[in-house]
Amino acid sequence: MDEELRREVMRLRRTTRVTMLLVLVVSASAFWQARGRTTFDEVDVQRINVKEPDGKLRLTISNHARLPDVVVGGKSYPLRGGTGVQSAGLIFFNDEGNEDGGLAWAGRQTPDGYHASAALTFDQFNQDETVSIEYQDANRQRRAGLAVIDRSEQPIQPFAESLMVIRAISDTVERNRRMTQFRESVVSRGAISAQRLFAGKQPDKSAVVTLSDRSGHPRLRLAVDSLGIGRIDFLDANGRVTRTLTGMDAR
Amino acid sequence: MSDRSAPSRRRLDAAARHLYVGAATTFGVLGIVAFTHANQKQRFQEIDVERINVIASNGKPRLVISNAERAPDVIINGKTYHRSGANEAGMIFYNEEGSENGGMGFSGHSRNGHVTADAGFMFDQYGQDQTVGLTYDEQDGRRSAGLRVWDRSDQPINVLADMVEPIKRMPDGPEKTRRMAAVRDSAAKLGLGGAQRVFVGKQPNKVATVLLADAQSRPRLRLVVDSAGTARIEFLDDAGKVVRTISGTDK
Repeated sequence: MDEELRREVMRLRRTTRVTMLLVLVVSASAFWQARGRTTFDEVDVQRINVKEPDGKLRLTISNHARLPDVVVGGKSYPLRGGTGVQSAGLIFFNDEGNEDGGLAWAGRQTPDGYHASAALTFDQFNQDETVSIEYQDANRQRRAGLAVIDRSEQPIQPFAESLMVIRAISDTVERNRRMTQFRESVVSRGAISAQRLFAGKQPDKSAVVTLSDRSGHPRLRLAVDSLGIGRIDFLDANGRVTRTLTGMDAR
Repeated sequence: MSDRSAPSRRRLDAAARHLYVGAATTFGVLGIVAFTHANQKQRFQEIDVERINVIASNGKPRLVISNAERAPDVIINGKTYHRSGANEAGMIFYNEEGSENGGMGFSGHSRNGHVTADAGFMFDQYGQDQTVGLTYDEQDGRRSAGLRVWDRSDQPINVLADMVEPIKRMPDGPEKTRRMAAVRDSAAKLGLGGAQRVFVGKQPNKVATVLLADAQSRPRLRLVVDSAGTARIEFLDDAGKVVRTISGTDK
Protein backbone atom coordinates (compact mmCIF):
# COMPACT_ATOMS: atom_id res chain seq x y z
CA MET A 1 0.00 0.00 0.00
CA ASP A 2 2.76 2.32 1.06
CA GLU A 3 4.81 1.40 -1.98
CA GLU A 4 1.79 1.81 -4.22
CA LEU A 5 1.17 5.28 -2.89
CA ARG A 6 4.78 6.23 -3.32
CA ARG A 7 4.67 5.05 -6.93
CA GLU A 8 1.46 6.97 -7.43
CA VAL A 9 3.08 10.11 -6.08
CA MET A 10 6.14 9.52 -8.30
CA ARG A 11 3.85 9.21 -11.30
CA LEU A 12 2.11 12.38 -10.29
CA ARG A 13 5.43 14.15 -9.93
CA ARG A 14 6.52 13.02 -13.37
CA THR A 15 3.19 14.10 -14.82
CA THR A 16 3.50 17.44 -13.12
CA ARG A 17 7.05 17.91 -14.38
CA VAL A 18 5.97 17.15 -17.92
CA THR A 19 2.98 19.46 -17.51
CA MET A 20 5.09 22.31 -16.19
CA LEU A 21 7.58 21.79 -18.99
CA LEU A 22 4.72 21.97 -21.51
CA VAL A 23 3.43 25.15 -19.91
CA LEU A 24 6.93 26.58 -20.13
CA VAL A 25 7.27 25.63 -23.80
CA VAL A 26 3.84 27.05 -24.62
CA SER A 27 4.55 30.34 -22.81
CA ALA A 28 8.01 30.60 -24.31
CA SER A 29 6.74 30.00 -27.82
CA ALA A 30 3.90 32.48 -27.28
CA PHE A 31 6.47 35.00 -26.12
CA TRP A 32 8.74 34.24 -29.06
CA GLN A 33 5.81 34.52 -31.45
CA ALA A 34 4.87 37.90 -30.05
CA ARG A 35 8.43 39.12 -30.54
CA GLY A 36 9.20 37.77 -33.97
CA ARG A 37 7.20 37.42 -37.15
CA THR A 38 3.85 35.78 -37.13
CA THR A 39 2.21 34.20 -40.13
CA PHE A 40 -1.48 34.02 -40.88
CA ASP A 41 -3.44 32.97 -43.94
CA GLU A 42 -6.23 35.38 -43.16
CA VAL A 43 -7.21 37.54 -40.21
CA ASP A 44 -10.39 39.44 -39.33
CA VAL A 45 -9.79 42.60 -37.33
CA GLN A 46 -11.62 45.78 -36.42
CA ARG A 47 -8.45 47.83 -36.05
CA ILE A 48 -4.72 47.59 -36.69
CA ASN A 49 -2.29 50.04 -35.06
CA VAL A 50 1.13 50.40 -36.64
CA LYS A 51 3.51 51.73 -33.98
CA GLU A 52 7.13 52.75 -33.60
CA PRO A 53 9.26 50.62 -31.20
CA ASP A 54 8.60 53.25 -28.49
CA GLY A 55 4.85 52.73 -28.85
CA LYS A 56 4.14 55.88 -30.85
CA LEU A 57 1.23 55.44 -33.23
CA ARG A 58 2.04 55.93 -36.94
CA LEU A 59 -0.97 54.43 -38.71
CA THR A 60 -4.36 53.02 -37.84
CA ILE A 61 -6.42 50.86 -40.18
CA SER A 62 -9.91 50.46 -38.82
CA ASN A 63 -13.65 50.31 -39.20
CA HIS A 64 -15.70 53.38 -38.28
CA ALA A 65 -16.44 52.47 -34.66
CA ARG A 66 -12.74 52.17 -33.84
CA LEU A 67 -11.41 55.23 -35.68
CA PRO A 68 -8.90 56.94 -33.38
CA ASP A 69 -9.60 60.37 -31.89
CA VAL A 70 -8.03 63.38 -33.59
CA VAL A 71 -4.51 63.85 -32.18
CA VAL A 72 -3.01 67.34 -32.57
CA GLY A 73 -0.31 68.98 -30.46
CA GLY A 74 0.20 65.67 -28.70
CA LYS A 75 -3.36 65.70 -27.36
CA SER A 76 -6.42 63.63 -28.25
CA TYR A 77 -9.68 65.32 -29.16
CA PRO A 78 -12.88 63.27 -29.60
CA LEU A 79 -13.92 65.52 -32.49
CA ARG A 80 -14.29 62.93 -35.24
CA GLY A 81 -17.75 62.09 -36.44
CA GLY A 82 -20.80 64.06 -35.44
CA THR A 83 -21.63 64.45 -39.12
CA GLY A 84 -23.36 61.08 -39.41
CA VAL A 85 -20.86 59.90 -42.03
CA GLN A 86 -19.59 56.47 -41.01
CA SER A 87 -16.17 56.50 -42.65
CA ALA A 88 -13.73 53.64 -42.26
CA GLY A 89 -10.11 53.69 -43.31
CA LEU A 90 -6.56 54.65 -42.55
CA ILE A 91 -5.31 57.53 -40.38
CA PHE A 92 -1.68 58.62 -40.68
CA PHE A 93 0.43 60.10 -37.85
CA ASN A 94 3.74 61.98 -38.10
CA ASP A 95 6.88 61.20 -36.08
CA GLU A 96 5.53 63.37 -33.25
CA GLY A 97 2.40 61.24 -33.06
CA ASN A 98 0.14 63.96 -34.49
CA GLU A 99 -2.39 63.17 -37.22
CA ASP A 100 -1.04 64.12 -40.65
CA GLY A 101 -3.43 62.59 -43.13
CA GLY A 102 -5.70 59.74 -43.94
CA LEU A 103 -7.59 57.62 -46.40
CA ALA A 104 -11.26 57.15 -45.63
CA TRP A 105 -14.46 56.23 -47.41
CA ALA A 106 -18.18 56.00 -46.72
CA GLY A 107 -21.46 55.61 -48.55
CA ARG A 108 -25.01 54.60 -47.77
CA GLN A 109 -28.66 55.29 -48.34
CA THR A 110 -30.16 58.06 -46.25
CA PRO A 111 -33.80 58.96 -45.54
CA ASP A 112 -33.69 61.45 -48.44
CA GLY A 113 -31.54 59.54 -50.92
CA TYR A 114 -27.91 58.67 -50.42
CA HIS A 115 -24.60 60.14 -49.36
CA ALA A 116 -21.14 58.96 -50.34
CA SER A 117 -17.63 60.31 -49.90
CA ALA A 118 -14.03 59.21 -50.08
CA ALA A 119 -10.71 60.97 -49.72
CA LEU A 120 -6.99 60.44 -49.55
CA THR A 121 -5.59 63.48 -47.77
CA PHE A 122 -2.22 64.68 -46.58
CA ASP A 123 -2.19 67.43 -43.94
CA GLN A 124 -0.04 70.53 -43.65
CA PHE A 125 2.23 70.19 -40.58
CA ASN A 126 0.13 70.86 -37.46
CA GLN A 127 -2.77 71.85 -39.72
CA ASP A 128 -5.48 70.34 -41.86
CA GLU A 129 -5.49 68.74 -45.32
CA THR A 130 -3.29 70.43 -47.93
CA VAL A 131 -3.59 67.98 -50.82
CA SER A 132 -6.27 65.41 -51.48
CA ILE A 133 -7.92 63.16 -53.98
CA GLU A 134 -11.58 63.24 -53.15
CA TYR A 135 -15.09 62.27 -54.10
CA GLN A 136 -18.21 63.84 -52.62
CA ASP A 137 -21.71 62.83 -53.63
CA ALA A 138 -25.09 63.71 -52.15
CA ASN A 139 -28.04 62.60 -54.28
CA ARG A 140 -26.16 62.91 -57.60
CA GLN A 141 -24.58 66.25 -56.71
CA ARG A 142 -21.05 65.06 -57.38
CA ARG A 143 -17.59 66.51 -57.05
CA ALA A 144 -14.46 64.45 -57.69
CA GLY A 145 -10.84 65.32 -58.31
CA LEU A 146 -7.55 66.57 -56.97
CA ALA A 147 -7.50 69.57 -54.63
CA VAL A 148 -4.58 71.56 -53.22
CA ILE A 149 -5.29 73.85 -50.30
CA ASP A 150 -3.41 76.58 -48.43
CA ARG A 151 -3.86 76.28 -44.68
CA SER A 152 -3.36 78.78 -41.89
CA GLU A 153 0.17 79.45 -40.61
CA GLN A 154 -1.29 79.03 -37.13
CA PRO A 155 -1.41 75.54 -35.61
CA ILE A 156 -4.77 73.80 -35.55
CA GLN A 157 -4.61 72.85 -31.85
CA PRO A 158 -6.21 76.03 -30.37
CA PHE A 159 -8.96 75.55 -32.96
CA ALA A 160 -9.57 72.02 -31.63
CA GLU A 161 -9.58 73.32 -28.03
CA SER A 162 -12.23 75.93 -28.88
CA LEU A 163 -14.32 73.35 -30.70
CA MET A 164 -14.23 71.08 -27.64
CA VAL A 165 -15.48 73.89 -25.41
CA ILE A 166 -18.26 74.84 -27.83
CA ARG A 167 -19.38 71.25 -28.40
CA ALA A 168 -19.70 70.78 -24.64
CA ILE A 169 -22.36 73.51 -24.40
CA SER A 170 -25.67 71.73 -23.78
CA ASP A 171 -27.99 74.56 -24.83
CA THR A 172 -28.45 74.23 -28.60
CA VAL A 173 -29.17 77.90 -29.30
CA GLU A 174 -26.18 79.03 -27.26
CA ARG A 175 -23.97 76.37 -28.87
CA ASN A 176 -24.90 77.46 -32.40
CA ARG A 177 -24.41 81.14 -31.49
CA ARG A 178 -20.94 80.41 -30.10
CA MET A 179 -20.07 78.30 -33.16
CA THR A 180 -21.02 81.14 -35.53
CA GLN A 181 -19.06 83.62 -33.40
CA PHE A 182 -16.08 81.27 -33.41
CA ARG A 183 -16.15 80.86 -37.22
CA GLU A 184 -16.30 84.64 -37.68
CA SER A 185 -13.36 85.16 -35.33
CA VAL A 186 -11.33 82.58 -37.26
CA VAL A 187 -12.00 84.41 -40.51
CA SER A 188 -11.25 87.84 -39.00
CA ARG A 189 -7.93 86.54 -37.65
CA GLY A 190 -7.06 85.53 -41.21
CA ALA A 191 -6.73 81.91 -40.19
CA ILE A 192 -8.72 80.78 -43.19
CA SER A 193 -7.93 78.14 -45.73
CA ALA A 194 -7.86 78.71 -49.47
CA GLN A 195 -8.21 76.16 -52.22
CA ARG A 196 -5.44 76.94 -54.71
CA LEU A 197 -5.96 74.22 -57.28
CA PHE A 198 -8.73 71.89 -58.30
CA ALA A 199 -8.66 69.45 -61.22
CA GLY A 200 -11.81 67.40 -61.57
CA LYS A 201 -15.52 67.55 -62.09
CA GLN A 202 -18.06 69.70 -60.33
CA PRO A 203 -21.74 69.30 -59.38
CA ASP A 204 -22.76 71.40 -62.43
CA LYS A 205 -21.31 68.56 -64.58
CA SER A 206 -18.38 70.59 -65.81
CA ALA A 207 -14.83 69.22 -66.05
CA VAL A 208 -12.42 71.88 -64.81
CA VAL A 209 -8.93 72.88 -63.85
CA THR A 210 -9.14 75.89 -61.54
CA LEU A 211 -6.17 77.87 -60.23
CA SER A 212 -6.98 80.29 -57.42
CA ASP A 213 -5.31 83.13 -55.54
CA ARG A 214 -4.30 83.11 -51.89
CA SER A 215 -7.81 84.11 -50.85
CA GLY A 216 -9.24 81.11 -52.67
CA HIS A 217 -10.73 83.15 -55.55
CA PRO A 218 -10.49 81.36 -58.93
CA ARG A 219 -8.29 83.48 -61.25
CA LEU A 220 -7.70 81.08 -64.14
CA ARG A 221 -10.21 78.41 -65.08
CA LEU A 222 -10.13 75.81 -67.82
CA ALA A 223 -13.52 74.21 -68.30
CA VAL A 224 -15.55 71.93 -70.50
CA ASP A 225 -19.15 72.40 -69.42
CA SER A 226 -22.06 69.94 -69.35
CA LEU A 227 -22.80 70.73 -73.02
CA GLY A 228 -19.23 70.04 -74.09
CA ILE A 229 -18.18 73.65 -74.67
CA GLY A 230 -14.55 74.34 -73.81
CA ARG A 231 -13.33 77.69 -72.51
CA ILE A 232 -10.48 79.32 -70.64
CA ASP A 233 -11.44 82.17 -68.32
CA PHE A 234 -9.24 84.73 -66.59
CA LEU A 235 -10.97 86.22 -63.55
CA ASP A 236 -10.35 89.16 -61.23
CA ALA A 237 -10.42 89.03 -57.43
CA ASN A 238 -14.17 89.73 -57.46
CA GLY A 239 -14.97 86.72 -59.60
CA ARG A 240 -15.55 88.79 -62.76
CA VAL A 241 -14.35 87.14 -65.98
CA THR A 242 -11.90 89.58 -67.59
CA ARG A 243 -10.87 87.49 -70.57
CA THR A 244 -12.20 84.36 -72.21
CA LEU A 245 -10.67 82.09 -74.83
CA THR A 246 -12.90 79.67 -76.69
CA GLY A 247 -12.69 77.50 -79.79
CA MET A 248 -14.99 79.89 -81.64
CA ASP A 249 -12.80 83.00 -81.38
CA ALA A 250 -11.49 84.36 -84.67
CA ARG A 251 -7.78 83.84 -85.04
CA MET B 1 11.28 3.21 6.60
CA SER B 2 7.64 2.49 7.21
CA ASP B 3 7.49 4.65 10.37
CA ARG B 4 8.85 7.67 8.50
CA SER B 5 6.82 7.02 5.37
CA ALA B 6 3.51 8.07 6.87
CA PRO B 7 4.23 11.82 7.35
CA SER B 8 6.44 11.90 4.22
CA ARG B 9 3.65 10.32 2.19
CA ARG B 10 1.28 12.99 3.42
CA ARG B 11 3.75 15.66 2.48
CA LEU B 12 4.25 14.14 -0.94
CA ASP B 13 0.52 13.81 -1.31
CA ALA B 14 0.00 17.44 -0.43
CA ALA B 15 2.83 18.54 -2.73
CA ALA B 16 1.37 16.57 -5.62
CA ARG B 17 -2.04 18.07 -4.98
CA HIS B 18 -0.59 21.53 -4.94
CA LEU B 19 1.31 20.91 -8.13
CA TYR B 20 -1.79 19.49 -9.77
CA VAL B 21 -3.94 22.39 -8.71
CA GLY B 22 -1.18 24.79 -9.73
CA ALA B 23 -0.72 23.25 -13.16
CA ALA B 24 -4.45 23.02 -13.79
CA THR B 25 -4.93 26.64 -12.76
CA THR B 26 -2.05 27.77 -14.99
CA PHE B 27 -3.52 25.91 -17.95
CA GLY B 28 -6.96 27.31 -17.20
CA VAL B 29 -5.64 30.85 -16.95
CA LEU B 30 -3.58 30.43 -20.12
CA GLY B 31 -6.64 29.09 -21.90
CA ILE B 32 -8.75 32.05 -20.82
CA VAL B 33 -5.97 34.47 -21.73
CA ALA B 34 -5.63 32.88 -25.16
CA PHE B 35 -9.38 33.08 -25.65
CA THR B 36 -9.72 36.71 -24.59
CA HIS B 37 -6.62 37.60 -26.57
CA ALA B 38 -8.37 36.35 -29.67
CA ASN B 39 -10.99 39.06 -29.06
CA GLN B 40 -8.78 41.81 -27.77
CA LYS B 41 -5.59 43.63 -28.52
CA GLN B 42 -2.54 41.69 -29.58
CA ARG B 43 0.92 42.94 -30.27
CA PHE B 44 3.24 41.71 -32.99
CA GLN B 45 6.51 43.10 -34.27
CA GLU B 46 5.69 41.94 -37.75
CA ILE B 47 3.06 39.77 -39.31
CA ASP B 48 3.05 37.85 -42.58
CA VAL B 49 -0.43 37.51 -43.92
CA GLU B 50 -2.16 36.67 -47.18
CA ARG B 51 -5.30 38.61 -46.39
CA ILE B 52 -6.57 40.98 -43.73
CA ASN B 53 -10.27 41.75 -43.44
CA VAL B 54 -11.09 44.93 -41.54
CA ILE B 55 -14.67 44.34 -40.49
CA ALA B 56 -17.36 46.44 -38.84
CA SER B 57 -18.67 45.20 -35.49
CA ASN B 58 -21.63 43.72 -37.37
CA GLY B 59 -19.20 41.57 -39.39
CA LYS B 60 -19.56 43.48 -42.69
CA PRO B 61 -16.25 44.16 -44.48
CA ARG B 62 -14.92 47.76 -44.67
CA LEU B 63 -11.49 46.95 -46.12
CA VAL B 64 -9.69 43.91 -47.49
CA ILE B 65 -5.89 43.95 -47.81
CA SER B 66 -4.66 40.93 -49.71
CA ASN B 67 -2.40 39.25 -52.22
CA ALA B 68 -3.78 38.62 -55.71
CA GLU B 69 -4.70 35.02 -54.98
CA ARG B 70 -7.02 35.92 -52.11
CA ALA B 71 -8.32 39.21 -53.53
CA PRO B 72 -12.11 39.31 -53.33
CA ASP B 73 -14.38 39.40 -56.37
CA VAL B 74 -16.56 42.47 -56.80
CA ILE B 75 -19.39 42.65 -54.25
CA ILE B 76 -21.95 45.35 -54.93
CA ASN B 77 -25.52 45.69 -53.69
CA GLY B 78 -25.28 42.19 -52.26
CA LYS B 79 -24.23 40.50 -55.53
CA THR B 80 -20.84 39.08 -56.48
CA TYR B 81 -19.27 39.58 -59.92
CA HIS B 82 -16.02 38.75 -61.69
CA ARG B 83 -13.67 41.71 -61.86
CA SER B 84 -12.89 43.19 -65.29
CA GLY B 85 -9.23 42.31 -65.63
CA ALA B 86 -7.61 40.06 -63.06
CA ASN B 87 -7.83 40.37 -59.30
CA GLU B 88 -4.74 42.16 -58.05
CA ALA B 89 -2.79 42.48 -54.83
CA GLY B 90 -3.78 45.54 -52.86
CA MET B 91 -6.74 46.93 -51.01
CA ILE B 92 -10.48 46.95 -51.65
CA PHE B 93 -12.69 49.45 -49.83
CA TYR B 94 -16.33 48.88 -48.82
CA ASN B 95 -19.03 51.33 -47.77
CA GLU B 96 -21.33 50.90 -44.75
CA GLU B 97 -23.64 48.74 -46.85
CA GLY B 98 -20.84 46.27 -47.62
CA SER B 99 -20.62 47.30 -51.29
CA GLU B 100 -17.22 47.80 -52.90
CA ASN B 101 -16.55 51.53 -53.28
CA GLY B 102 -12.91 51.78 -54.28
CA GLY B 103 -9.52 50.26 -53.96
CA MET B 104 -5.87 50.18 -54.75
CA GLY B 105 -4.25 47.47 -56.86
CA PHE B 106 -0.85 46.89 -58.38
CA SER B 107 0.84 44.32 -60.56
CA GLY B 108 3.72 43.98 -62.97
CA HIS B 109 5.54 41.18 -64.69
CA SER B 110 7.86 40.40 -67.54
CA ARG B 111 6.91 37.34 -69.56
CA ASN B 112 8.64 36.16 -72.74
CA GLY B 113 10.38 39.51 -72.90
CA HIS B 114 7.13 41.48 -72.67
CA VAL B 115 6.52 43.85 -69.77
CA THR B 116 3.04 44.48 -68.45
CA ALA B 117 2.57 46.65 -65.39
CA ASP B 118 -0.18 48.69 -63.85
CA ALA B 119 -1.23 50.31 -60.63
CA GLY B 120 -4.36 52.14 -59.68
CA PHE B 121 -5.91 53.94 -56.77
CA MET B 122 -9.66 54.46 -57.24
CA PHE B 123 -12.74 55.82 -55.56
CA ASP B 124 -16.07 54.63 -56.98
CA GLN B 125 -19.25 56.56 -57.50
CA TYR B 126 -21.92 55.30 -55.09
CA GLY B 127 -23.36 52.06 -56.48
CA GLN B 128 -21.19 52.46 -59.58
CA ASP B 129 -17.64 52.21 -60.89
CA GLN B 130 -14.53 54.37 -60.44
CA THR B 131 -15.08 58.13 -60.59
CA VAL B 132 -11.65 59.45 -59.58
CA GLY B 133 -8.29 57.76 -59.51
CA LEU B 134 -4.55 57.72 -59.98
CA THR B 135 -3.44 55.23 -62.61
CA TYR B 136 -0.27 53.86 -64.17
CA ASP B 137 -0.28 51.48 -67.13
CA GLU B 138 2.60 50.09 -69.11
CA GLN B 139 2.99 47.76 -72.07
CA ASP B 140 6.62 47.28 -73.14
CA GLY B 141 7.70 50.84 -72.40
CA ARG B 142 4.48 52.46 -73.62
CA ARG B 143 3.41 54.21 -70.44
CA SER B 144 0.56 56.33 -69.24
CA ALA B 145 0.25 57.74 -65.75
CA GLY B 146 -1.85 60.39 -64.09
CA LEU B 147 -5.02 61.56 -62.47
CA ARG B 148 -8.35 60.63 -64.05
CA VAL B 149 -11.93 61.68 -63.37
CA TRP B 150 -14.92 59.87 -64.85
CA ASP B 151 -18.66 60.39 -65.15
CA ARG B 152 -20.61 57.25 -64.35
CA SER B 153 -24.19 56.25 -65.06
CA ASP B 154 -26.92 57.19 -62.61
CA GLN B 155 -28.07 53.57 -62.89
CA PRO B 156 -26.51 51.09 -60.45
CA ILE B 157 -23.61 49.13 -61.93
CA ASN B 158 -25.53 45.88 -61.38
CA VAL B 159 -27.51 46.59 -64.57
CA LEU B 160 -24.32 46.47 -66.67
CA ALA B 161 -22.64 43.79 -64.53
CA ASP B 162 -25.64 41.46 -64.94
CA MET B 163 -25.30 41.82 -68.75
CA VAL B 164 -21.55 41.23 -68.75
CA GLU B 165 -21.25 38.50 -66.11
CA PRO B 166 -22.47 35.54 -68.27
CA ILE B 167 -19.97 36.53 -70.99
CA LYS B 168 -17.14 36.75 -68.46
CA ARG B 169 -17.85 33.12 -67.57
CA MET B 170 -17.38 32.02 -71.23
CA PRO B 171 -14.08 30.43 -72.32
CA ASP B 172 -11.65 32.93 -73.92
CA GLY B 173 -11.90 33.16 -77.71
CA PRO B 174 -13.23 35.21 -80.62
CA GLU B 175 -16.87 34.49 -79.68
CA LYS B 176 -16.36 35.85 -76.17
CA THR B 177 -14.55 38.93 -77.53
CA ARG B 178 -17.33 39.56 -80.06
CA ARG B 179 -20.13 39.23 -77.52
CA MET B 180 -18.31 41.36 -74.96
CA ALA B 181 -17.84 44.14 -77.53
CA ALA B 182 -21.53 43.90 -78.50
CA VAL B 183 -22.69 44.14 -74.89
CA ARG B 184 -20.38 47.07 -74.17
CA ASP B 185 -21.66 48.79 -77.29
CA SER B 186 -25.32 48.39 -76.32
CA ALA B 187 -24.49 49.37 -72.72
CA ALA B 188 -22.91 52.57 -74.00
CA LYS B 189 -26.05 53.30 -76.07
CA LEU B 190 -28.17 52.75 -72.95
CA GLY B 191 -25.97 55.22 -71.06
CA LEU B 192 -24.72 52.52 -68.70
CA GLY B 193 -21.03 53.12 -69.43
CA GLY B 194 -18.86 55.94 -68.25
CA ALA B 195 -17.00 58.89 -69.73
CA GLN B 196 -13.54 60.08 -68.82
CA ARG B 197 -13.87 63.83 -68.20
CA VAL B 198 -10.42 64.77 -66.90
CA PHE B 199 -6.93 63.44 -67.45
CA VAL B 200 -3.83 65.10 -66.02
CA GLY B 201 -0.68 63.18 -66.74
CA LYS B 202 1.43 61.62 -69.45
CA GLN B 203 0.39 59.46 -72.36
CA PRO B 204 2.09 56.62 -74.29
CA ASN B 205 3.08 58.99 -77.13
CA LYS B 206 5.26 60.82 -74.58
CA VAL B 207 3.11 63.91 -74.24
CA ALA B 208 2.42 65.59 -70.92
CA THR B 209 -1.16 66.77 -70.96
CA VAL B 210 -4.16 68.24 -69.21
CA LEU B 211 -7.23 67.04 -71.02
CA LEU B 212 -10.84 68.04 -70.41
CA ALA B 213 -13.56 66.04 -72.16
CA ASP B 214 -17.29 66.28 -72.66
CA ALA B 215 -19.95 63.94 -71.28
CA GLN B 216 -19.32 61.58 -74.23
CA SER B 217 -15.61 61.42 -73.26
CA ARG B 218 -14.55 63.41 -76.37
CA PRO B 219 -11.56 65.70 -75.61
CA ARG B 220 -12.67 69.32 -76.08
CA LEU B 221 -9.87 71.32 -74.43
CA ARG B 222 -6.30 70.11 -74.26
CA LEU B 223 -3.03 71.47 -72.87
CA VAL B 224 -0.06 69.63 -74.30
CA VAL B 225 3.70 69.56 -74.17
CA ASP B 226 4.59 66.94 -76.75
CA SER B 227 7.57 64.56 -77.01
CA ALA B 228 9.55 67.24 -78.89
CA GLY B 229 8.91 69.78 -76.12
CA THR B 230 6.43 71.89 -78.05
CA ALA B 231 3.61 73.39 -76.01
CA ARG B 232 0.11 74.21 -77.21
CA ILE B 233 -3.48 74.66 -76.09
CA GLU B 234 -6.10 73.12 -78.34
CA PHE B 235 -9.85 73.51 -78.55
CA LEU B 236 -11.59 70.60 -80.25
CA ASP B 237 -15.08 70.10 -81.66
CA ASP B 238 -17.34 67.11 -81.03
CA ALA B 239 -15.87 65.34 -84.07
CA GLY B 240 -12.35 65.47 -82.62
CA LYS B 241 -11.19 68.22 -85.03
CA VAL B 242 -8.87 70.85 -83.56
CA VAL B 243 -10.69 74.15 -84.15
CA ARG B 244 -8.23 76.46 -82.43
CA THR B 245 -4.62 76.19 -81.33
CA ILE B 246 -2.74 78.58 -79.07
CA SER B 247 1.03 78.18 -79.04
CA GLY B 248 4.14 80.03 -77.85
CA THR B 249 4.79 81.40 -81.32
CA ASP B 250 1.40 83.16 -81.63
CA LYS B 251 1.49 86.93 -81.54
